[in-house]
Amino acid sequence: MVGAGIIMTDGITRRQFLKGTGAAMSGVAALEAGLGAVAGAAQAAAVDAAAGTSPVEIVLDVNGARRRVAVEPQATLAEVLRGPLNLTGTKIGCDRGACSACTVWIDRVPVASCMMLAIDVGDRPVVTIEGLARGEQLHPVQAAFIAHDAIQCGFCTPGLVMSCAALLETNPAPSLDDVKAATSGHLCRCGTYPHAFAAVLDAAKSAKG
Amino acid sequence: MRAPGNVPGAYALEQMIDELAIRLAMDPLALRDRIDLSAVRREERRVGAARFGWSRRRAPGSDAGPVKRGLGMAQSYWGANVNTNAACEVRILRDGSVEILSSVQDIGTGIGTLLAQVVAEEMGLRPEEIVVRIGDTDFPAGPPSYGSITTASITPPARNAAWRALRELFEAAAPALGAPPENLIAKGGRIATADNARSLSFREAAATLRTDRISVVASRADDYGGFARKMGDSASARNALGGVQFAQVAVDVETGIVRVERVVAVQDCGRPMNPRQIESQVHGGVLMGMSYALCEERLLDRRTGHVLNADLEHYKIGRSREVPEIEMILLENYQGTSATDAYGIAEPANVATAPAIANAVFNAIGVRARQLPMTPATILAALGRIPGGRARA
Amino acid sequence: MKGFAWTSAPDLAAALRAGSATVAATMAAAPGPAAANAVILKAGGIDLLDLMKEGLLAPQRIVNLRGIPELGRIAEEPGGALRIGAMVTLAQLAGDPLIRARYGALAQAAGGSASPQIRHVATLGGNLLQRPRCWYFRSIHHDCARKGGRQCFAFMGENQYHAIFGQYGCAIVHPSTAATALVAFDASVELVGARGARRTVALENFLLGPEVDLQRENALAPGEILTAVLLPAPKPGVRSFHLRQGELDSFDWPIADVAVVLELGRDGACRRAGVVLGAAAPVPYRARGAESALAGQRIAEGTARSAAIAALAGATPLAKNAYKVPVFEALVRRAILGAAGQA
Repeated sequence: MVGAGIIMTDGITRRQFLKGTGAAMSGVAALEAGLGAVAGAAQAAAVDAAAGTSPVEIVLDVNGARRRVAVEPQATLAEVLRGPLNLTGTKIGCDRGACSACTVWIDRVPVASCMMLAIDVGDRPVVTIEGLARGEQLHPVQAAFIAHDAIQCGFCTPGLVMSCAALLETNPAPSLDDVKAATSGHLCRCGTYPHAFAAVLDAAKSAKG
Repeated sequence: MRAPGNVPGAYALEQMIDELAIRLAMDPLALRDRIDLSAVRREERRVGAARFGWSRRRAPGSDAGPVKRGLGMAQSYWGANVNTNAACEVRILRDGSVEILSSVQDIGTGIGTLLAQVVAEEMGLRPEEIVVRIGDTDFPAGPPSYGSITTASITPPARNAAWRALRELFEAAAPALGAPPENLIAKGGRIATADNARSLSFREAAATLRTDRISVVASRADDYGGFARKMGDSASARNALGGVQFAQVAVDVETGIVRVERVVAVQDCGRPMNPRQIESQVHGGVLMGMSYALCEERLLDRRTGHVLNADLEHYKIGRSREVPEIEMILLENYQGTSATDAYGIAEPANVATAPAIANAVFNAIGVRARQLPMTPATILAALGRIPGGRARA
Repeated sequence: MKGFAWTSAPDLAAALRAGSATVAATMAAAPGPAAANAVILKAGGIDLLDLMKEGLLAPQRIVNLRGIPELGRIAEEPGGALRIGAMVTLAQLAGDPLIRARYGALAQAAGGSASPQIRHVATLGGNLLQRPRCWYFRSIHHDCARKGGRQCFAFMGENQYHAIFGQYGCAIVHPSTAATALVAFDASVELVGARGARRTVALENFLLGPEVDLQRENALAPGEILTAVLLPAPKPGVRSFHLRQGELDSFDWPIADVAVVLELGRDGACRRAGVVLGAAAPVPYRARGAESALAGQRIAEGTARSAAIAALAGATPLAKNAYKVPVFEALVRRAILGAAGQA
């Protein structure tokens, strides 16, 4: 663990604390999440005023909810999602943008959340794997991944699903080459690609029909 | 990464057999039919060659342009390994729920699904009705996930524990059904008399239990007829596993780039339990083998002793665009030696890929890459296209 | 990553007032107060975070440029030149209809870089100013010449991905494939100094080889901001092509990349050619031999082949990267034919 460490605030449980450290957090702290919306402009001003390396309170638009969270400037979006926001579906693989396990959407395009500072997200909407389903109804790509056994160890799966779902947003009838291009940043050590490709093509077909 | 030790050995051996066939002016399949005593491999060669279109194979360098295509094949051999320190507990609870507990762990192999399948089949339930609790060392001893041993080790005790737990349920439910326990069957979510005249739902039957739950622990018995080898907890079944793989490659002789276009993998693993999961394992085996053949290499700086590519940027692993068309053919090879008759797949599906690709590369360009991985540097050196010839070959 | 203070610059003036240091100067000064007190400007932040996570850079303050609208625009200037703001992402470059139509090789180079995830965040400015990917340079265990040490470890070590030209005391290759295309188009960079003075420098002159400076890859001055890349108006008959070859087709650095820009006359003869090799030298390598071999010629297989051989003349490969010579020869020939529409 690097950085200035986890800041304990009132109300944080020991379990949350351990969860945070276990995920190799570099200095992120949970405040009350989702309470008291702060306007984007006010947030930017607060960020501008930050003078030291101490935690800064920001508001992230995650899966349609405004989540208030105190972050140290060096905390990545991936760390903040997994730590104080408790959205552990997003995985951290290489932590260098090389494996894409941490893929989330920012402004509806897939990005590597391990190479994005949380403080740099601003008011751009973030969608994580937890935000893809509509209530109990899975996103067509999620359902197709299950139907095609496109999951082995599952570590790359959330990121891979985010890339595939993003592809269908812009290209509802992709070719196999389109799917390969959209997923070319991902690393699946289990080698589940063929089933994942079939799942995406199937999801595209079923969405059309 | 899979099949440590076996893959480098097979890479050399399987290329030597290919080379021997070429020196003898024989088709590599015909030579193997002469020297390979396994009837299983022979059948795998036959069905694989037909699906793959082996008869399309031409002489090296048949393509006119810079991209040369080639076909190759290789075989794998892997012990049907078993760990006898493998046990599980099956519980039937009075509320009708069924649980299986074992300290076996699911690292992506799908063993949790298989355990649910086995117990469900025995109890006449659906797999999703079985609660699988694994990965906790407080549960009965489970095998580790290596050596392609997991399915062979833990599914037979799962079936045996389920069978015995069900007998206890029959004992409890027999009076309510007015039939002796040995005349009861479990089918379609019901406990019924053999003639189907009377039945209770599984839940109703479970409600007849005198106590909150039935609990049966079973451990891995020796294979029927014994093992071929046994040392400590490790054993090997009498019939080994393997497979035959066929690869089609395209080699650009100007850039040295090798791309695998198609792989047909014929595999056996005893009685297949979940063909789709087996296909996932075979995809993994083939893709790891391809990656091993083409790009994976740990690079050590010889002067300072540091690994230079201990990251996912420069330790190269094939990804989406490298994935070939992969077709699996499962040869159902019933052994009749355990309660599930199921053996491993992950590593036998990995061993043959790299040498099959190497043999296809030879068939494409007429020179053999004797070093791994087959990077552009390796291929161009083998082709004698590097000025000064200083690069390794 | 070590902690730092964070400021978001609302406009260019605020960013200039921050008094930034260059990443190269900061790394050269480390360890020491100059490095510890450094203020670093952040564009997309991909390379910056990578350097910080590897423990190679620990600035006192980061100033974010993402909120400055004027840096994020692509605009056609009077006269047809194109001005690309430094904060334009690689994904925008690859998808921009004007760039695809007029500067095809640039769109190809940007679209083939890294992964979709990275291209959505990485900026053109950051891409040009990123530090090299040499594994000795990126390793805290190797005090290499580019970091102020006494030796280049690559000369005696693992150099399969290193330079085959111009290794004057350091064998890095320039990491930007976009730069390969930009140099072929004779692009310039616009730099704004601390006092607001703007200067425009040809990219080819802005990027520095180790013979000029061993510890920095460009002429960015302290406090200066790279604000835009300027592409000259395309001349009639200009066609371009970029080819990259990685060991992998998915998310891999190229072992060779080539950009070719041909100005073809109505008679089909090549008036002027730009042939630039990436992943070949510490800077994008302009293959003058190939350019003059093409001038005045009709493009055909034979001329392309001769030009490719000329492009590699004088290469000085290291022990493990001579394989790059035939790879480049193939790519140069194919890119010339691709630019001429004969691929």
